[in-house]
Amino acid sequence: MEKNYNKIDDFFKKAFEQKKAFEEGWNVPSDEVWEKLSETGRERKRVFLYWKWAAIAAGMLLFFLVGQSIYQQKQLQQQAAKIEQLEQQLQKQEVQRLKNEIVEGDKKFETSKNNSSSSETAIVTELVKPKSRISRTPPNTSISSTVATPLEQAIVVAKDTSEIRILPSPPTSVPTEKIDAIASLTSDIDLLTTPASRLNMPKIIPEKIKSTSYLTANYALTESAQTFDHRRNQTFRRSNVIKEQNINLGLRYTHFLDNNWFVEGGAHYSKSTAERSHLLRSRFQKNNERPSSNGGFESTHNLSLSSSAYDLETDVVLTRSSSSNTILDGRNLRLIGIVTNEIQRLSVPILVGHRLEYQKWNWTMKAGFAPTITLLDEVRLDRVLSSEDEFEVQSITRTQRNPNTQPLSLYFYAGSSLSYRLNEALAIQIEPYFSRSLTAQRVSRNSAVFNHSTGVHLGLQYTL
Amino acid sequence: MASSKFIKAIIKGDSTARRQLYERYKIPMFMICLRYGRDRAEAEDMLQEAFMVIFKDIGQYSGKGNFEGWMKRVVVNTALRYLRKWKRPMVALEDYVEEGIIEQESYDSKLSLQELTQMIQQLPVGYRTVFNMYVLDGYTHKEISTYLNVSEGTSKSQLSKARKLLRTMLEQQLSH
Repeated sequence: MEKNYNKIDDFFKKAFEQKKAFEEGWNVPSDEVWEKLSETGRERKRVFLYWKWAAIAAGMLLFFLVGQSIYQQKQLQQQAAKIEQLEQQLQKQEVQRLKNEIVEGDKKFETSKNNSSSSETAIVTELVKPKSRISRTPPNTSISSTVATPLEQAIVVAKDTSEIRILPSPPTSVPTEKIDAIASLTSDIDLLTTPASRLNMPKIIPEKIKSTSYLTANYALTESAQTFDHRRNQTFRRSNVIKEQNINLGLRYTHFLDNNWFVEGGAHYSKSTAERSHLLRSRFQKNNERPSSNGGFESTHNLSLSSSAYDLETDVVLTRSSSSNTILDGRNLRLIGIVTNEIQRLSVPILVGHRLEYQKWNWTMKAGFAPTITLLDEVRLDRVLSSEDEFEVQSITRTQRNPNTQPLSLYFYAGSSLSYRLNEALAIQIEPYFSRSLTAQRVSRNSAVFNHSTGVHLGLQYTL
Repeated sequence: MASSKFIKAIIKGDSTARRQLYERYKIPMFMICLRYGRDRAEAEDMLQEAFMVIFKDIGQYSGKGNFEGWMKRVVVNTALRYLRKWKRPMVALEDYVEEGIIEQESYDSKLSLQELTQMIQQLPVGYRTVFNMYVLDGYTHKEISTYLNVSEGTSKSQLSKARKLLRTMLEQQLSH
């Protein structure tokens, strides 16, 4: 059989090798191909410029936030130094004043030694007055009952000046009624959507709060671009642009183990729709885009152990998702195929990052970065239905992803969030962010997928 | 053609050098794309992408070996990526089944390259990809299974079906 089939092979092989391909029209590409190719250089420059400015903007934002934080710290230190200086001056003044009063009291005492007992009482009262201002002893404490003479009393007062303390008013301390609010605002509303949000951990955890629960609702609008770089052959790199809208509902429970560590568990249900288009084509070949759209449901359950002191977190996340993907031929808007996926994914992200937080009235601003390493395993069931000319092919594949083929993904996040607490239970949040991730594959396909995205999350959090 | 000076000019983005390279190789490369693509439009997309890759990665050509061969490899890989991304080569999971011996007559080579290319284009994408890779571009089943992420058995099965379809088409053509 193989021999017979080899005749077909040989026939085609010889035909393509031996027959000379003349320029006949059918085998000459249209001029458009070169026109588009010549535009590519210009487009690439534009892409580079865009990223250059984005990087500069992100750098400036980071610089500003770090600078502001350092400036605030310095101001606090300066204020503390001023207060200390003032305190010392006041102490000196008070001591001097008391010494003067004692001297004056001595003189008065000497001059009125022989006066009546009623006048002595008046002097004693006068001497007691300054003490009532500087001593912690209540003014109505009867001195005469513990001290024999006003002179002895005055000496006691002078000795007591070492205890005089003028407490500085806390310049940046959070009002106590707000501590509850800060504590309950443990993290971003979309805890499970991005590792970035998991970084937003509480910095102040009052001892009285041991556990909290939240209901969250989120809307996210994201635009991201993927670049596939297949290094093994060093021949291929392509990009896609994805615009995604996501709405989700979640329930979270946080339990604080101590002031630094807390465990968190949650369930999260989301519905998303996404539109994809080929980046290179969409930039200069608009009428030949290959758009696709997909949508689906996703449920996520996670359990995490986090440290607020060290900005460290490790998670176990189980995700189940189902989606359908429709691919259209942009040229004649013909349906190319429908792909439905059911995916179960187990991922273990390990996150180490840093976050800055600034609070003013009911507003909270957070900014941070969160490099994340994720280990994951995936079971995938794909159903593919394709209309290919007059042929229709349907195939079902079930893939157990080998951990060796996709062992790691590295995630970097930089962003900031702005929250407003309406009341003790309800908070709204806006979080613009930028992230970049790298997923590396090994074994049969040495390739890497770069993903960068910018977006905004709008959220609502209700504390139970 | 691919002297180091010429390659440097392409890397620098010299449009004249790029144009020269494109004009010199556009036909053989386009014919590969025509075999892998479903139609002319798709083949043009593939060719465009392939030349973009060539312009970018030409520095990786070591100078040893056939330059045209290197370019062909790039074009085939690009076409495969294209299919994987937009079409996902549809391969059935059934095992390779040995089929009965089929009487074979010798085929006349009166058919033109255009007609043969059209025949290949009419194959379903999975059959077409495996046939092109195995028969015309010299990949082994093992390599195909790696590129397409399928088993070797699936690759053989697709090839078998492609041959069968092509044989039917050839017979129809020759009977006219």
